[in-house]
Amino acid sequence: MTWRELLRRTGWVDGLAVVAVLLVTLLALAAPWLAPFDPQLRVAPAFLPPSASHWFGTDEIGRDMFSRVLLGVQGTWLPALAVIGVSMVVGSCIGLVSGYFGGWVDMVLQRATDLFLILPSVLVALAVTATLGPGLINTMLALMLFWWSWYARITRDEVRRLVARPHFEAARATGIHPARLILRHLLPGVMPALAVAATLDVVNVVLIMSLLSFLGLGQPAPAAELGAMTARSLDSLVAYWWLPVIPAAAIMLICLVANLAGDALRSSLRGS
Amino acid sequence: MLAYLLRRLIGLVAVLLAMAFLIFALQGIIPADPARAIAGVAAPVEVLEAVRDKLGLSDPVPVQYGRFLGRVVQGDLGTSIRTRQPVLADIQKYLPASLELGLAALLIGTALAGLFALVHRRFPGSAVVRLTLITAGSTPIFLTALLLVYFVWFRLGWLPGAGRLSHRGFSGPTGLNLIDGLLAVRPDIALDALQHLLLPALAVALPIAVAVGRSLGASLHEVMRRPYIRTMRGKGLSEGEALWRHGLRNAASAPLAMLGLQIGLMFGNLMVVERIFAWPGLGLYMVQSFASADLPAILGVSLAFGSIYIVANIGIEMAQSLADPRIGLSRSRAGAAD
Repeated sequence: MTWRELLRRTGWVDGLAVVAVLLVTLLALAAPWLAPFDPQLRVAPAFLPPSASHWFGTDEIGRDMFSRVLLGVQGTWLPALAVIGVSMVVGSCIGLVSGYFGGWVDMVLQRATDLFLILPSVLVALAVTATLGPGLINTMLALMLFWWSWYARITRDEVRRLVARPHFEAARATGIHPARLILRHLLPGVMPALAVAATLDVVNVVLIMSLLSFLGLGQPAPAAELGAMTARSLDSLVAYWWLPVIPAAAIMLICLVANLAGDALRSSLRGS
Repeated sequence: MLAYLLRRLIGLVAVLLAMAFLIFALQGIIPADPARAIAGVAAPVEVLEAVRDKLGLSDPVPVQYGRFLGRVVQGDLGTSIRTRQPVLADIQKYLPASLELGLAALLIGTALAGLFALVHRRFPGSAVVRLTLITAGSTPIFLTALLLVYFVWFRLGWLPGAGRLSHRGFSGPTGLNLIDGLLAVRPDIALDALQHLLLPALAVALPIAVAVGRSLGASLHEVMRRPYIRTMRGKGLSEGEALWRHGLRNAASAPLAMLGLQIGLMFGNLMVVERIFAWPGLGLYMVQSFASADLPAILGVSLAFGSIYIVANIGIEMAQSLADPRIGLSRSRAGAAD
């Protein structure tokens, strides 16, 4: 199935979800220019409720919450995409090699993948980040450390399926270089399955990263990070509910959009 | 059966070793500095070195790893840098609260999952049901917990929003207040414990319920279309009987696997919920250990949670083969040691 077919089979609601994902990405990229105020500076009295000039109110220092949430979206969405991207590249390379060569190479690589797959992901991510020390880069490293295994498994299974197909047999019979064989005749066949897995998986990464951030393992204090913003204003829940709730709700919106888009991709693929 | 359990046990040790090794390997690259945390920011270098020597932090990493493994085998997880208590004693102290919360969450989560699956079956293809479940699946655990605290505790005042009991000074043999209250024939304590337990347990249960419920719904949908179920209907079984007596067992495998996965994710959620509800369990202990870079405690709790995870998953695989004997115990599908 080609990308064009995929697009045609997708309904307009699903198309809308995909557009929304692109919109979130644009929003995240343009956050510093879209933010009406400097997210790190005191711009108004503290604890202002949401209003026309400060859409999400102001926090305990008097910083504009809307600007901070925008920056927080950037700091959540882009790293999540990076984690997924790196895991996908590393995982698919391992999966392609494993599936293409088969035999003992496949055995060894799949046992290694197994080990990483059955590790309880959140627990290991927490322990590794805590060991490396809090921070965005360390959070991302901790996740990438084993996140690739899921993509390696998907790729490998797809490749084993493709290798048995006649079109691959024909391509191999022409005697072209194995690298070309893998890149031109296996990778395109694997891409749709990978794309679906990745769009649904972004939600997992966003949720785990914001969980780590909430637990104090993300960027240090002044940074605008959604999970940490909620955690730091927990005590304000009763008096100023918007301080902890709005950043958390922003995470939910991001995940909802990504989930809908992933679901749409999956169901249009299943239709084939 | 015995051979199977033995193999799973080897898998358990392999995963724990891998987890411990992973953390230790990384510790060598960028060491967080607990010696600095104890000695204080302004401490002179000599004091810092002395503290480091005392904690065994100046030894090479492989030596530390070997020493750690040797001690773990004897049940010694080291001394917490923050509480200055043996980590094992800390774990024993805080585990019952987390166990109570976790078990209650699993119970509620499984019950809700069944409910979700039934709703899913009653309204197949309903956009509202699908959207509700997707929204619930997109909600970060701390938003769920905050909304529960805000509305049920602060706005409505129906249930308490923090702690395990209204009065201090009650303790029983199991450490699970609800059960201890019942054992001691103190219905007031048991009721109080239950009221405190409900909200945090519900917060932890919701993601489990959504994931398992979706899996169960999809699985039932597929099974109930099979010819053997049509045969059951044909011989006059009611829809409910066909589902309970014949459909459920065949549909149980995938949702059970999902439950196992969710138990792994639950530990992180326990930490968040215990932090929000001031629930004095292992999760809260872990959060406080993060803040002070208390590596022995973090490692110890990780290994404890990791062991619970693996024991739970062995239980789940056994439940899977009980529900569907075709899943042979001899032919296990996932695992490091296989």
